[in-house]
Amino acid sequence: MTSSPHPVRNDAACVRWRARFPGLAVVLVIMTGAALAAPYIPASDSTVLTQVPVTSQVQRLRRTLANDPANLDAALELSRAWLSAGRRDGDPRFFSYVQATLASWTGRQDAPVDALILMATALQSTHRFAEAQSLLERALQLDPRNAQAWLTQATLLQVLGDFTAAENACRRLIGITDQRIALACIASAQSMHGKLDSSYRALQRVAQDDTRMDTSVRSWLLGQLGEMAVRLDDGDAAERHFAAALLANPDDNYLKGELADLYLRRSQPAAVIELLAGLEAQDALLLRLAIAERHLGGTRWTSMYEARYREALRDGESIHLREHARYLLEVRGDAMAALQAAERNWRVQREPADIRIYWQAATAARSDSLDVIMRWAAANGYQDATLRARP
Amino acid sequence: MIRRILQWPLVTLLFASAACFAHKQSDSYLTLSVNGQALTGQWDIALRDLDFAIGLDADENGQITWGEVRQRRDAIAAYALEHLRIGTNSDVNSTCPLRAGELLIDEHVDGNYAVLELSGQCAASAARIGISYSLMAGVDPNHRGLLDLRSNGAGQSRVLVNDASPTWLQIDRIEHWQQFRTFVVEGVRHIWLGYDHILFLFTLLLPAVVIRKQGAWHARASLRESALDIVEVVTAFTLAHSLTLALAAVGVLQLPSRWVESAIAFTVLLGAANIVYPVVRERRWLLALGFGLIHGLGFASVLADLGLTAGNLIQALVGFNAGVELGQLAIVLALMPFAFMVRDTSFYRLLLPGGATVIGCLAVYWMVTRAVTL
Repeated sequence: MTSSPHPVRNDAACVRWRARFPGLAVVLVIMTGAALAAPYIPASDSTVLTQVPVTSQVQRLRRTLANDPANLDAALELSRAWLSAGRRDGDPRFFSYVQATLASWTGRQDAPVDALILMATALQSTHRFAEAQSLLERALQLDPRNAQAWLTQATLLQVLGDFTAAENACRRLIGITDQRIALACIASAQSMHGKLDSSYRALQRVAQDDTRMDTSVRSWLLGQLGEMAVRLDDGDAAERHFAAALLANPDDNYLKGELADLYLRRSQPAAVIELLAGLEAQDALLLRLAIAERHLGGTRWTSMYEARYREALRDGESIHLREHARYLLEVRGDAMAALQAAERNWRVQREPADIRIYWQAATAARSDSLDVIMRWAAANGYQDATLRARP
Repeated sequence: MIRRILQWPLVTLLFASAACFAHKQSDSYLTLSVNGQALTGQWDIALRDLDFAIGLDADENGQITWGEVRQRRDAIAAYALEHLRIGTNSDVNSTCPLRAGELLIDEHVDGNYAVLELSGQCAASAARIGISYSLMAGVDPNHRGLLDLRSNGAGQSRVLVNDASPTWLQIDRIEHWQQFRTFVVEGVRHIWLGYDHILFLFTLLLPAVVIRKQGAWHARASLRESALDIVEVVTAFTLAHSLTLALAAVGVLQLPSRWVESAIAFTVLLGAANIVYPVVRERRWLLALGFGLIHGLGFASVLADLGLTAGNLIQALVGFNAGVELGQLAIVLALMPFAFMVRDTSFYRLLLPGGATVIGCLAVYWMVTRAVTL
């Protein structure tokens, strides 16, 4: 085993595991190899082998672009379609497609602002934060009043835990876009930064006025409210918000994961399975199923998750550390290993879920890291009721 | 414009929290075997990826059927071969032309893959092999090819980036240590799994901590005497089986495997009988030496199955033998101190004839089945 010859795909949050544990990788490769069945010829021509996400819009745009590679509008529209698909399916292929589609424009000196922003979004979605940030800075230099660029920037900064800078980016939205969006952005940043109660109330007011509000905006607002309610220890309100958000956008798998976590915290594993069964294709949801199943005494989803994890290791692929830490803690019960993963994740990401898993792993491992988190939470005024309960 | 801003920024906001790998990235699995100039292998490519690259869903209904895949067999093969170049020494492009064989399907953790059988013939056998990989180039910059390459009985793995710059792999000498290790592991495995050898050894070792007087077993007082006895037996067994293993491996000594395996079972029976009706009492190492010769022949047939070539003979022999010794030593070290501790108990006095009887019955069973089936 040697280290992979290609450049590191992601930032520290997603670490190359293969280089670090070559021995483990070898063992896993052997195990996987043994587990694979032999290739075969399907019984009949009508056997369905796979589903592919196909929309006539995407097909048409791809054809347009193939005939006219310089067609920027088609490239942008196609990229947007793929970003939506990536959001819906969680398949990183879509973000790669965006990269391939926009590469020829973002590589130019006079790169179009929209191309820069969409590219930044694709990179951010695969946790290539530094690259995303530099593209956004280029976009904002070219167009300082670009609402989309400021909003993406605010999101990125918030994920990285720089809440003051995120709030400042949100403030730049005032006057250049829908007021509700600017307010929601500010409330979201402030909620992480000492003003959870007031942000929650402010966001509730914003959500009430839903005239001419896009459903994706609406479901996002409600999802944010749900997350804040969780941190305020109001589980019933959180459940209502998540349910309403899912009503607005029934395909939102991220929201389903949040709702499943709420059920898990309330010791309702059966509700998790009812909510997520059939969505095993999503690794993040499969993880919740495996956790729920552990409480009910099964192994089906756990072995499925482990098989996927082995494959991800095999391509030297970056494992999403947040999910991996949860798996180690909540499925395997390995507090020390979970703490290591959560700690590495913490160095880069500061969303509530990142803070939570770090806290839980540190508690379970009785580690001094608990002080680090508590000091950080106190310094930032971060409030979260789940950090008080025993995991 | 307002409409667009309303729709877009918010969707990007939502991305922040999306897991980075809700799915695994796009990978293909490339398995290659180099044998002299001949190249064989298989390439598993996700149907999703093939559909994206060249289109498989003829009726555009979002479902890919075997019929649709089968009809595109030639296009799939052409696309794949166009994006994989293998060569030797310095020239990647032309030295090992590839052909695609049968198209099959296999399931991986993230869905069904097309499996393409590959074969090729290189212009010359070489010390290095170069692979230039460009599947999905231009459409998916994060696609990777996971390569498993076997050559001279050893394997190596690489992650191939689809930028078409060749990845070079050494296939002649560097793998020797790895190969050696493989043989050591096989040796250990064989001694642990093929427990006829171990049982034989125990029929000679178990009496080492006791002494036979007036038709009964008595504990040996001194640790030194017992230890010496154990060392004698193990050494004799090792010397004997190493000798015949070497002779058989180089081809000097060749006996039919059915005969050898049955004879091994017979030695186990004799060893067991010698506990119940002791004939050879003090010099059991002589039994170890004599019968060890037969066990060595048994090891040789296993080694032959592992794939010996003139090039790796010494390495295989030394590695495999080292593995056998290590495995044997581990078991002796784990069990004999225990035997020494309990040697003066009625349990041990029962264990000796009882265990010997069980081992003897097993040996008879082996003798019969091996003579018939092997």
